[in-house]
Amino acid sequence: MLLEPELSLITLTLIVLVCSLVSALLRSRKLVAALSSLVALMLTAVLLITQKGKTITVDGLPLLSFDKHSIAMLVLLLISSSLIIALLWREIDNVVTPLIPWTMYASIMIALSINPAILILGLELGALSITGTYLSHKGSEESAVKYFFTSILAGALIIAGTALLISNHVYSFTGISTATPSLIFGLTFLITGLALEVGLAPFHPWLPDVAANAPVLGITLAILLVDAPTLYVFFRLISAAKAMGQILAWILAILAAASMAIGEFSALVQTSIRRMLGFSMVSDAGYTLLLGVACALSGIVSFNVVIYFITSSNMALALALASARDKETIGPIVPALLSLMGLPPFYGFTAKLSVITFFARIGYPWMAVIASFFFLVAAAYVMRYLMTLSRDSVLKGYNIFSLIYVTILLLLGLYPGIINLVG
Amino acid sequence: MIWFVASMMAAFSAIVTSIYNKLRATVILIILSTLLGILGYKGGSYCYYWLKQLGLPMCIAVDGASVLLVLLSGIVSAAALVAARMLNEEREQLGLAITSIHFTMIGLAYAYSLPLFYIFWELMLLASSFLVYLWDKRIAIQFFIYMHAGSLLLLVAIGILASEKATIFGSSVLVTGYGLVAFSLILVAFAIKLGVFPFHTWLPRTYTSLPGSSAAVISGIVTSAGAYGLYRLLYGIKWLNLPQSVAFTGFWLGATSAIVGALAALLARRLGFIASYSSISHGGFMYAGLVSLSRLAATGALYIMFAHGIVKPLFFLLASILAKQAGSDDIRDMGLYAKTMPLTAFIGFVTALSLAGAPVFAFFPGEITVIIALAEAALNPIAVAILVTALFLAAAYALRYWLRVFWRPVVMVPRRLPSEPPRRLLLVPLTLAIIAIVAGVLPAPIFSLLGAMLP
Repeated sequence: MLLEPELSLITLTLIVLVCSLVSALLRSRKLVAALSSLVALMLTAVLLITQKGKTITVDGLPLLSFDKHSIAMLVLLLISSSLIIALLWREIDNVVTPLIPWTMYASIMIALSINPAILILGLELGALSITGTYLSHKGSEESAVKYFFTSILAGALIIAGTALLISNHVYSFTGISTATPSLIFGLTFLITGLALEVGLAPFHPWLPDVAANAPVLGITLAILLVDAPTLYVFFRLISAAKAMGQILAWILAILAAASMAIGEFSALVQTSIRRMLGFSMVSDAGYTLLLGVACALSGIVSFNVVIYFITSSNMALALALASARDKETIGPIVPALLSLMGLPPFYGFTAKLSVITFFARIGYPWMAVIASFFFLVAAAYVMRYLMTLSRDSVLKGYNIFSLIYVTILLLLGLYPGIINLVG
Repeated sequence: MIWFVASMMAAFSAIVTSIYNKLRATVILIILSTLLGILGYKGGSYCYYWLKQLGLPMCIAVDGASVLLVLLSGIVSAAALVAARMLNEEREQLGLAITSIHFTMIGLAYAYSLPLFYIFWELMLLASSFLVYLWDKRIAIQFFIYMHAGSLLLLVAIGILASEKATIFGSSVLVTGYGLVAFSLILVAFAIKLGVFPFHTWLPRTYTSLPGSSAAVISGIVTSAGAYGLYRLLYGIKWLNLPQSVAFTGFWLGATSAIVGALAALLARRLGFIASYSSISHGGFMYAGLVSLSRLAATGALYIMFAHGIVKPLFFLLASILAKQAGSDDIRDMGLYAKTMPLTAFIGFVTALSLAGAPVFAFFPGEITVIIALAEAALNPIAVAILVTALFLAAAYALRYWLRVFWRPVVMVPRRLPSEPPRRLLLVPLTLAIIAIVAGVLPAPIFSLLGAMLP
């Protein structure tokens, strides 16, 4: 059954409301609550696939675009989130469960948004839901506050940027081609806000702290459902901003390299695996920005490459964090980190190969060299951590859900074309 | 395609049996996978597009060089597994590491496009790092980082070649601008893998941190695969308008390594270090031959690769046996062992003469071919003279080791000479020694195999 895109959005909202209500009402039954979240995620994935290629417009103003790349990414992230929820279902409580469908809803808003107002709506909704999941866990209040204030500040900057864009009659944040001073200011505010949201250096200090102290379910959902779509939007904004000009592009390229350097070298000296992964997220923001800048400078945009990169790194990070919660669940961290390191036959390898090939193909082999160097640093800290694991522990902690997750990482590594089948 | 799948399946079965510690079944499956791999010779090529958006195909094909690599991997893997059991050098999951390396070697030999080649290259790195990890975690990290750095340089080169639409072997690339960058990156990447001076620092410390049977696998298969990889990248891709100076710089790197490695081996006192520095020297020889971009020299270099793959494991196993019998692998503590260990002395003799590049021993046909080819290619005569000097130095360190260990001791003091090890311990080294002699006496089959190389 194919619905009109507007109707599908309403259906989606209803699914989220119903699942959220079911979860809230059945607060004593963890399993049912978890299942309702899974149903919401699955239904959403199916609904998204049926809307491929459509756009929602209101009074001629485009709001959401169900483009095939965004849908492919979202479906992959929703499946990963479902598996993570199934993996961590014991950690679900009566506060977290009703928030999961809203996080997912925010994720869709962010990834499909082509209008800054919808982007703000998605980001704010995501920030509130994730803050809620952090607050549900005792001892994670500091992470919740840090994350909330960062999101508020990011939101404020994005709103300021959006206001400047709208004052120039620009209602879509992709493909800004004219370069008036106020538009450049608007773009700068927007970029800064998103940089803060994704933890790009020098706006990164909150990210490793939150990654280290937030509850596992909260941080994994944040990585998959908020961070990944935001990185994608960040890439879309940078890669299509023709008004950005060469100077701003080069400044951003330097920022990207700084983020990669700070992220990877800081991760190298961490003793806590969760902080290490937090810094890895900082460097991931740098890679995404560099990809965006390369696309902007060359005029060649490859959504496949950025989706491979974002989904592979965020999926691996989420599994690694979910596995690292104690010694009894540590096993799946090995394939997750091998994928994060970009070793074949895991999905991370596809991403690494695509990124390097893409940089070389569009005529920026020096960017490939920079990326390779930081891949090497990443390999160093991942190997350092893996060597600390005992031989017995690498086989511990597997269950059906982690096995499916690892199989997906393997399948995507062996045949990345699967993504194009869903998108 | 069918031979590739069959061979990979047999190698995978070997991995499974090795997990359950079934030595006989593992060795039989390694031999079977090797035979199946060889049967794919001249079986045509097969391609499919893996990452279509980026134009990255997966192709397989087999030529003489591939067959040689599969053969070498099969011989050394089986020999190392048997030797590890006999020399009591086993560790839990050692079989898994060795069979995994063999598995990746078959993939590497069959790979006929850059992405597939790189995938098996990385898997080989992972498997070999795991082998080192079983013995020394710290060295394993260093080994992995060093090798991974080389792999990433290769990856950038592959990215550039992909942008030039040269991802399948047999394609052409114009060596100007980025093509030149790719060529230079490939030279550095394989210099690291082959342990060519000054990228050699990982090699002695890794080899000497391993027991003989494991060092045999790293030196005999993994390092030899470096020569194979360099051959594939330099001769599989047609480098058009390559400036002579670039190839010449690469040649000098190899020639310098051949000299430096041989000199270091001449000064080394422990057998493990003599074998390691000798590897650096032979790595340099192979590198110089391959980088000269003369097909005849490349054939010679691949012959050296095979000889290296047989003789170095032989040397490491011999060193391990001597260390076990005598309680030390320092040649200053040895001498006159030929009196009590005649069979071991014979194996030592074959090793020494092979390393020296003496006629009718394994290295000779390859080394003489490289030198003749380089002389014919009208390179600078000094360059050829340097390689000849490296050969003299190789003869010096090889004879020094043999004489010091089996005949004339450094210091003549009364000592109890070790007894001959049980015959079963010498079975694997003796087999390798016989192969080394056969390779020296009958080089024609291997040369004819190498003559039929894919473009």
